[in-house]
Amino acid sequence: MATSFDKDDDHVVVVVGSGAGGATVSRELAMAGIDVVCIEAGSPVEKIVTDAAAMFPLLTWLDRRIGSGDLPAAFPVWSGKGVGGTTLHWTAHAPRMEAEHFEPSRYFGALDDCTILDWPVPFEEMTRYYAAAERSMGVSGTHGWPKLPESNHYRVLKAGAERIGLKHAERSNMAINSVAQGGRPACIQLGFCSSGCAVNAKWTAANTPIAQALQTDHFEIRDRSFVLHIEHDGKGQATSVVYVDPNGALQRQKARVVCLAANAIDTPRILLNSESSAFPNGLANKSGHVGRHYIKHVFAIVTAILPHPVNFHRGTQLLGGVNDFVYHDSSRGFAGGFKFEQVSFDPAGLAVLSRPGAWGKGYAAQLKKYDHYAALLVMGEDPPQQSNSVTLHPAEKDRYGMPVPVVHYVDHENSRRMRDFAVQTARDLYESLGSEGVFLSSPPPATHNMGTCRMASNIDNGVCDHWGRSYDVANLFLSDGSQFPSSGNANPTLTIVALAMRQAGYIRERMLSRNL
Amino acid sequence: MKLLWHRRRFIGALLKVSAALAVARSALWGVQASGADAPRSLTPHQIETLRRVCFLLFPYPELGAAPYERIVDGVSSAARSDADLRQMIGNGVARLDAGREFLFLDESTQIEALTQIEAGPFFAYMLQMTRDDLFNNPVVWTHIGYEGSSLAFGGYVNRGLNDIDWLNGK
Repeated sequence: MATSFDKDDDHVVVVVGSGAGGATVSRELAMAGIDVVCIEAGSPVEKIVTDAAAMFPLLTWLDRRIGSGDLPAAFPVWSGKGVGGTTLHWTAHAPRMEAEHFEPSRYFGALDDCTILDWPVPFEEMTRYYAAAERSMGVSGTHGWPKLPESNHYRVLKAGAERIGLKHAERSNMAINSVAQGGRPACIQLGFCSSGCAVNAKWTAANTPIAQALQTDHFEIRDRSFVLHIEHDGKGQATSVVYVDPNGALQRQKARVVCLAANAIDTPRILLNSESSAFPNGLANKSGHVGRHYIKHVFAIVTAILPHPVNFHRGTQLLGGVNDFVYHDSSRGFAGGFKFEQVSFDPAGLAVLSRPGAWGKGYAAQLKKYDHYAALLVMGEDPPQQSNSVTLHPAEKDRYGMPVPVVHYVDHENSRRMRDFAVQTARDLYESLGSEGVFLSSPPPATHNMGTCRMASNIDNGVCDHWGRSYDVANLFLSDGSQFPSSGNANPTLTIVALAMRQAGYIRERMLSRNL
Repeated sequence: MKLLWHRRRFIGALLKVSAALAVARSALWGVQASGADAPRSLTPHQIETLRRVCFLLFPYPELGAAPYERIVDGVSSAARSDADLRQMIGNGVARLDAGREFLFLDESTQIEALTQIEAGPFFAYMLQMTRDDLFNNPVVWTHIGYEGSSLAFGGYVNRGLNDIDWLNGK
């Protein structure tokens, strides 16, 4: 139903961003009868085609960001822009974080120069919300839905793992339908997951929570609308969200509550750009933690050429992984754990990644063996560091006059040791299968952005409490990965959705009891 | 036609994200070209040189000239509306020609000449454009064993998703 709300209507909840977090909070509130205006910078993605090159500009956040440290300077972060946010691009791997990853101080405690923080959310409570999130997303491998079928690429990974004595090669829980459910069909194994699913077998924020919210009378989405800053009153309450509409005009939407879910890059960017005399360092930033402790997972991509065809493009890009190193084990020489996850690339992606910067006869001949390739990614826990951060560029502005974000990230020494161990293990795995060559890519752009407005049990340690509610601004919530105090080694989307469901319940209850 | 349009759009997006390249470009060749009478097209010599460069970056002689011509068509059309790019290409080709004409050199000397400019922005631009166009070309896909979209055939679910038989041997 097409509902619209007046910009002076100050009883609405304004949600900034329509990705996993923003769409979920919106759906939960709208279905509870609370009026929501969701402001999204991108456009609706009307049609998804199986053409990675065509979809890239339609799904990708291409507004200028500056990378520094170990990140690619011109394109430090690969996130989504469009109704549905980064869930249009995600590979739909939906693991839970493990219990030990909610208490990283147990194994990261002794690391130098780190700002380790445990989660203030009780794990037992998270398990309930994980189950609810999995149900709402139709995660295969949970709630009686079977896992997706085995593929060549998965079997290669599993065989290699077994040959080097690993025990936990497993198909993952995926937010991709193994059977038709939720009004969406079963996966037919197209293999274009990260370019959007042409048959909608993959859960996205657009095809599920946004679609569900639109069926209520309580939801309006304003796409192609770019939020610049948030205003507050003399009591320090957020009052309105200022944005540029599709015609380039400045608009001000009043709000009873504001939920920020603009990805862990633009969420702190908006807060830092909302400075005032009451908040000289940015809104909700009395603690100084906004934009700090940026975490993104310890990441590496390993590609290998096997002696026989694999055809890794056939089927979902990510299906399974090796989970022998998920938990901390001090005997490995580094703290924390990592996962291996199989991943496939189309030829253009492979050419960039397999041997970055390589060219000439040898590399051309190597890429000619496209159908013999296998690949995995290493995804490890990333210890937060104060200096890894999102800040505003002092001079450079975007086309709306908003300062461009600078994303700074440098690997911790522990992460280098973890990566070296993981890459050597991957090398052993592929060589056990007779691989002709194993290659490590250079650091790709970050996709899992977390930690920049973290939750803490203590007002001095973070930006928000365990509900994601700002300590400084009582009606402002952080509703995306920016609230994570630590990264664990699970892909973050399921946790973002679980936290958003939990947060929405809290907002609803506080609004009903007139405490918000 | 449709494919061409998609490709152009992709190249457009890549140019957008190549902001660092643009900065490096203007820093090194900060000459403001494009007076009213500046030529807006690449010269035939520049086009021939670029085609040879594309080929040497990823040589698949069995595919003939067409895939490499397609890349340079894209570069050429981008250059028409981008004076900085024309300047960069002009300088890049001039460096390859320094002292002798690049196109007349033997292959190993050409490769050596390319290696010498590897650190510069012209080379980085050509490498990116070549990689992204060549490996998004269905002709190349077939050649290297990529089957492309299976949507029209109902996906890979019943078409070789799980068909390898070599894992249990050895």
